[in-house]
Amino acid sequence: MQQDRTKLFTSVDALFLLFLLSALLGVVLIGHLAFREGLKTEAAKANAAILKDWFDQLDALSAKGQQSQLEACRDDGEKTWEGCQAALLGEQGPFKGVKNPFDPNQSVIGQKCDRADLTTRGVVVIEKGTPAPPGAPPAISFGPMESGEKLSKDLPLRIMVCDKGAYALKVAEVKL
Amino acid sequence: MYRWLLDPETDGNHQAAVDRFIALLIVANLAALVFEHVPAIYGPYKEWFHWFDIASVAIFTVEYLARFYLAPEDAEFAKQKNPRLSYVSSPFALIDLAAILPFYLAAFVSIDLRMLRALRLLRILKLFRVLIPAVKEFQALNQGRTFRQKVHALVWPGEFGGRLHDYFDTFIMVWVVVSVSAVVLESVASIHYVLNLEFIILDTIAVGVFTLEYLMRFYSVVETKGFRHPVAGRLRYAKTGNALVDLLAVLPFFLEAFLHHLFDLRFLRVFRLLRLLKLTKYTGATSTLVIVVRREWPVMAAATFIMLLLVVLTASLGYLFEHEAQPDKFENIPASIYWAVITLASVGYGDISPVTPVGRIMTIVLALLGIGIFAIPAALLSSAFSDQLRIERETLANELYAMMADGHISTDEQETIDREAKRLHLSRDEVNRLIDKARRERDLKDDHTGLTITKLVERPDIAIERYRELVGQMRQIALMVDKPTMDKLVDDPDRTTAFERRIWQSLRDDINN
Repeated sequence: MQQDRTKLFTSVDALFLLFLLSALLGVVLIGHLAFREGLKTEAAKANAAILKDWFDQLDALSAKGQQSQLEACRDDGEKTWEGCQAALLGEQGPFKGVKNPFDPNQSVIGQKCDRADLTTRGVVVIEKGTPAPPGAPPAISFGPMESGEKLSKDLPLRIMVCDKGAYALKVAEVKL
Repeated sequence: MYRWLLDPETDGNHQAAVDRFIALLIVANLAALVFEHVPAIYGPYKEWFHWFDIASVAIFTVEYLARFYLAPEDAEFAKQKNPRLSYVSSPFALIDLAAILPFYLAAFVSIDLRMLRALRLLRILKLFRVLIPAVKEFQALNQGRTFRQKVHALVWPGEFGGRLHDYFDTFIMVWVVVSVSAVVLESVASIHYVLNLEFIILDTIAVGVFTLEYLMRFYSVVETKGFRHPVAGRLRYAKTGNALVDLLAVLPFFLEAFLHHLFDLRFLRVFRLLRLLKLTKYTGATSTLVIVVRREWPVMAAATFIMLLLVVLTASLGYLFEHEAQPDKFENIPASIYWAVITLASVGYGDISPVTPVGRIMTIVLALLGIGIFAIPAALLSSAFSDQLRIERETLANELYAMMADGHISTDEQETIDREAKRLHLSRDEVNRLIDKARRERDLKDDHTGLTITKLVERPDIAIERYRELVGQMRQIALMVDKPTMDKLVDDPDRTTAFERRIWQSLRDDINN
C-alpha cells in the first residue's frame, strides 16, 4: 500500500478508484432493489385505492337511495363479510384480476398485517370500526373484520395495506 | 457596479454573496423540479411552483443582463474588440442563456411540458460558474502532487484544498441536512405514504455520497501526520470518533439490504439520524465541550457520585416507607429508583407519589436537596464552557497582538484570524474591535520594546526610532543621576568596558557643553 512518490498516479490509486466505483455500483444496486420493493408497495397502495374508490361509489349510490351491485355486499344486516369478500374478488367485484404485487399466488385481501408472516405483504386489509364509550378517546377503535361479521348500514371501515415489511399503512377510512 | 457586484478580485464586495445566492437558487430549482414529479405535492401547490419558476427566471435574466451590460468592465472581455459580443459567445454566458431560454421559448412555441422540465435541468450547469474557477485553483495548488495527495487536499482541511475543499464540505453538509430532514419526515405517516419512492431515491443518493466521502477519507488519511502507516494509520483512523460516525451514517443502509431476510431491521433506520453527528467535524463547539468536560472531570465526577449516592438512598428510603402502603408502585428498590430520579430532578410526573406521612416529609427534603445537587453539573459545565471561550478569545487577542507587532496584518495572518474567528463564533465587528485594541496597545507601547532585534533590523524606520529613544534615555540618565557616584562606578573596569566608558564620557561632554 506504500505509494511510489515519483509517480503521480499509481496502480494503488487505480485499485482505489476501482473499489470506489464498485462501492458506488453496490449502493446503486441496493438502491435499485429497494426501489423495486417500493414499487411493489406502491402497487399494493393502488390496489387499496381501487377498494377505496369502490366504497366511495357505494357511498354515492347510498346517498341516492340505491344499493351496491354486489348482492353479497349489501348492508341489510344479513350479509356477512366472508361473502362480501368473495364477491369483491369475483367477476363483478372491483378486485377482479387484481394480484398481490409481492406474491401473485397470495390473496389480495387479508385479515391483518403480520410482521412475522411476510406472506401478508401487499395484502389489503379492511378493519371494522367500533364506537368507543362517550368521552373515551379515540372515538372509534378499529379491529380485524371477522369472516362472520354482519354488514350493517354505515359500518365504519378502515382500509389498510401491508408494505414490504408487512407493516400496516393506513389508506382511508370509509363507511359501508 | 461591476466591482460592487461581480468582480471576484475586489475584496469586501458583494460578489461572493451574489454567487452564493445564485447557487442556492439553482439548488432550490432542482428541488422544485423533483417535487413537480410528485402529484400529491405538485397538485395543490401548482400556482406556487409556477410563480417560483417565474421568479427564478426573472432573477437569472437580471443576472444575465447585468453580466452582459458590465462585460466591458470584466478583465476577461475588456481587451476584446467587442466585449459584450465576446461575453455572449463565452461558455459561461451560453450556459446562463440555456438556463432561461426554454422559459421564453415556451411563451412563443408550444413545447411539451416534460421536455420543458428536462430543459430546466440545464440550470444546474450554472453551478459550473462557481465550480470551474475552484477546480482551476485546486489544480494550480496541487500541481506535481500525487493522486492520493489531491484526494487528501479535497477531503481534509489544509493549505492545498482551496475553495474546492470548501465546496466539498458544503456539499456534504447539505446532504447531511437533507437526509436527516428526510428521516424526520419519513416518520410522519401521511408524508411517508405519499413520498415513499422519493425517500428511497434520496436515501440511496445520500448513502452514495457518504460512502464516497468515507472511502476517500479512509484512503487519503495516510497523508495526515500521525496516520502515515498504510495499514496501522488507516486502522487508527477507522477507530476515531469522526470515522465511526461516518461509518454509522451508511451502515444501516447496507445492513438492512443484506440482513432484512433474517431480522426485522427497520429500527436501524432511526440510526440514520446519527448523520447529524457528521456536522460536528465542521464546528469547534464539540471540541470545546470535550476540553471543558475533561478539564472539569474531577469536580463533575464528584458531583455525579453524590448524585448517585442520593438517588440510591432516596430510592431505598422510598421503598422502606412506601412499600407496604403501595406495593404495586414501590415494588422494589430498582423500581423506586425511577421515582427517586423523577423527584430529585424536579420533574415530578406524578405517576408515582408517596402517600405515607413519613414518605411525604422525606420527599419534601429530597426535592429541596435535589434542586441543588442536580444543578451542580449543569452550572459547572455552563461556567466552564464560558470560561473556555474566554480563554480562547484571550488567546486570539494575544495572537493578534503578536501579529500587530510589525504594524500590519499579512494575508496569511488575516486567514488565520478569519479561521479562528469562525471557530470562536466571533462576528466581524468583534474581530475588528480586538484588532483595534491590539493596535491601540501597540501604539501605547510606541517605544517598540516589544520588538525583537530580528524584527527591528527588518524595519530600519522603526529601528531608528528605537535608537533615538535609547539615546534619549541615556541622556536623561546622564542628566539626573548622582554624577560623582556614577563616574566612580563607570570608571571601575570590572563593571564597564572601554567602549561603554567612552560613550559615558561623550554623554557627559554633551551635557556639559
